[in-house]
Amino acid sequence: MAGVLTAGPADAPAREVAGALIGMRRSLARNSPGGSGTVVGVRAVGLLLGIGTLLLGLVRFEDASRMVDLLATVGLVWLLGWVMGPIVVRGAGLGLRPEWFALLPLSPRRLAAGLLGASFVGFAPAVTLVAFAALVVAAARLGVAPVLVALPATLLQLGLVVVLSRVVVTALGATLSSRRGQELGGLLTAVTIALASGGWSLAAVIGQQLAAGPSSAVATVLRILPSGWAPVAVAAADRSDWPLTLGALCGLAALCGLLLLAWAELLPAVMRKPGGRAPGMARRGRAAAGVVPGARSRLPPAGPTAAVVAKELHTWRRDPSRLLLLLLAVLISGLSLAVPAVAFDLPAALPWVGPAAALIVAMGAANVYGDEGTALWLTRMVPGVERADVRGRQLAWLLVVAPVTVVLTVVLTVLSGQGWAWPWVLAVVPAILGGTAGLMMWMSVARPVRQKDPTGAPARSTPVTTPTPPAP
Amino acid sequence: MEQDGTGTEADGGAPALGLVGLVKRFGTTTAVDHVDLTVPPGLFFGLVGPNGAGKTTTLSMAVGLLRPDGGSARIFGIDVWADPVAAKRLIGVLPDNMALPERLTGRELLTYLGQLRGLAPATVAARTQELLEVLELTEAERTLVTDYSAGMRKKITLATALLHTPRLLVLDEPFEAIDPVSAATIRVILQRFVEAGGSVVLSSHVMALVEQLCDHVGVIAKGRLVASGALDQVRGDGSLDDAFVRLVGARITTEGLSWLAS
Repeated sequence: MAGVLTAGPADAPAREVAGALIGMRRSLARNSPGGSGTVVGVRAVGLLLGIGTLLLGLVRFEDASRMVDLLATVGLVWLLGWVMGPIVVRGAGLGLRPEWFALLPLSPRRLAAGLLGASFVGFAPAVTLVAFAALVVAAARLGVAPVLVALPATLLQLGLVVVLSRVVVTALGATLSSRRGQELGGLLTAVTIALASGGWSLAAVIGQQLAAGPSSAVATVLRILPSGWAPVAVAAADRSDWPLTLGALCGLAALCGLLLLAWAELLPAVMRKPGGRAPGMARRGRAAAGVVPGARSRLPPAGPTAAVVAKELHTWRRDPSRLLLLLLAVLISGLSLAVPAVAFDLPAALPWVGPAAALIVAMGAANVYGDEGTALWLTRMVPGVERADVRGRQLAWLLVVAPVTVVLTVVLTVLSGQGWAWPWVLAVVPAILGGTAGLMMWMSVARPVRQKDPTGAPARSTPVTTPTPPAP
Repeated sequence: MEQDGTGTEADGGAPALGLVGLVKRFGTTTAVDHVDLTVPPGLFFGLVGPNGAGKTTTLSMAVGLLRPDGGSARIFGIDVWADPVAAKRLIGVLPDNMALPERLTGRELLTYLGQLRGLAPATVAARTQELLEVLELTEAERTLVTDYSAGMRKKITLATALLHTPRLLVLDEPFEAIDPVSAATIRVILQRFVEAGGSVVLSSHVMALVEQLCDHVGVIAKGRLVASGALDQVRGDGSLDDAFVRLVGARITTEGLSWLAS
């Protein structure tokens, strides 16, 4: 083996680089949390979505513009999936990070080519290609020319989502693995969850709009967004509108090219500063969360319970995950109740937006000790404060959630004009707030789900024992 | 540092820390295997051992953070698991790598903790100010704990351990990730604490540091206490390093990687 270290090849052949990168990505997917079982599950869902989208190509429409509405909508959904997916599913979901290869004797261009090649290989691009092939299926009903346009349009559409996703991941790069990235991921996850559980009302409203005809605002926006250009090109070919066909196709190709250029620009910059801010590195004078005006002078009222309340209120105000929980609760209850109430004239739903939001926050907050990782050690080391800790957390929770619930309930009940609802909401709101404050703490102690430490310290084999709570 | 702890007469000559037959199992592995250890009051005691030897598990059980599967832990004669409230009044703990209330500033953390411990507000304010100054955390006045560096986290955790003037400090790897200047500060604080009659038990795998600081050491390996006593007794004629390698039974690998030099 002599000489391996001294006379290594200067640059590995491009095919070997791409092959190694593809192998690496497979291993990453295999070793991702949850193991192969999760991967199989996710792939099964992906395959179903892909085939489902493909089958949409078989839907028969009276005119091609309705086909454009449908395929542009699903195209936009897939594009959002490619952009948001890596941010929501961090870690292995980021794929290969360019900065890992910064110390290798590889030219940036060769590495870029390898990374781009690896991006197009794998399950996700294959399933997306199946989904986008719906355009070819739909074009087959229209004639030969639309099919000839649909083939390159489908490939360009795939190129667009893959390269756009790479650009977003590379641009956010180091941020994504940092705490800021986790906060961004949390926000997008919250929006995704809200859309998944309450988005049906938006879909219904959009459906109503689209049914109104191609002149509606929603239809126009869907055609202007690049995710709609491929179906626009096919429909234009069907009408023999060749300038528009060519314009849409060239536009897609140009956009792919521009994104590739942007990616090539970003890549070396990302590789020069690997990792960005190291976890735990101090940063002073941060504008947002770090600055605490008046923290020096203000001393909280005395007493253990008051100390816990004050500590918890600080945390509610400064911890993005708790603010996200509030946002998520208001979003879900708004989408599920307020949007349909307004869109479909069902005012009886409005008084319940507030109580529903309180219930959702309680569900999300029912793991107060587990969510703080190992931080419980500090409370455990202070003798005799278990009761103060539980009561303080309940009080702080009420101080945060009760005003939101009460304001939402009063304002929306007044707006709805549903006089009969008053006795109901006046009884239900206090019951929900009091009940959830008790249940939340009971759940947190009885069934704690230990989360990773906020500092990134791994969950360890030495669990901190849970406190014994007073009876609620 | 002034000692608030009272009742020195009551506990007579009880050891600062007394572990008897301490056992902890995780699944099929026995992390701590019948550890007996006595630390008399007023000592600077170092617990050394390789990574994964059971130092953290032992100390967690000793201070009431992890329930043992067998055996007992006593602080100045008080059983930690039978009367945790009384025991926890006497100790200050610095665990290794554990989370804190992350969205508080250092001052807020100490203030709330003082309140939780029932200290008078004026006392809390004065001690907090002094601790932040001595540990050089006043510059980071507006930084949240979550944005602290590893060394700053160690220092603020040490401050939480000192705030209520404990009689025994239990510190798990207190010098890890700490810069030399901060390490010197902490060393002085701990030495003064012992001079004033306090007791310190710290764990480390840096032998030189333990040799320099501690007058008594215990060596733990594979969950068992393999040696314990005065520093000179444990290390014999050689250095603590040599004694450690001998006691732990480590074999230093010198073979392999022949191609590296060719």
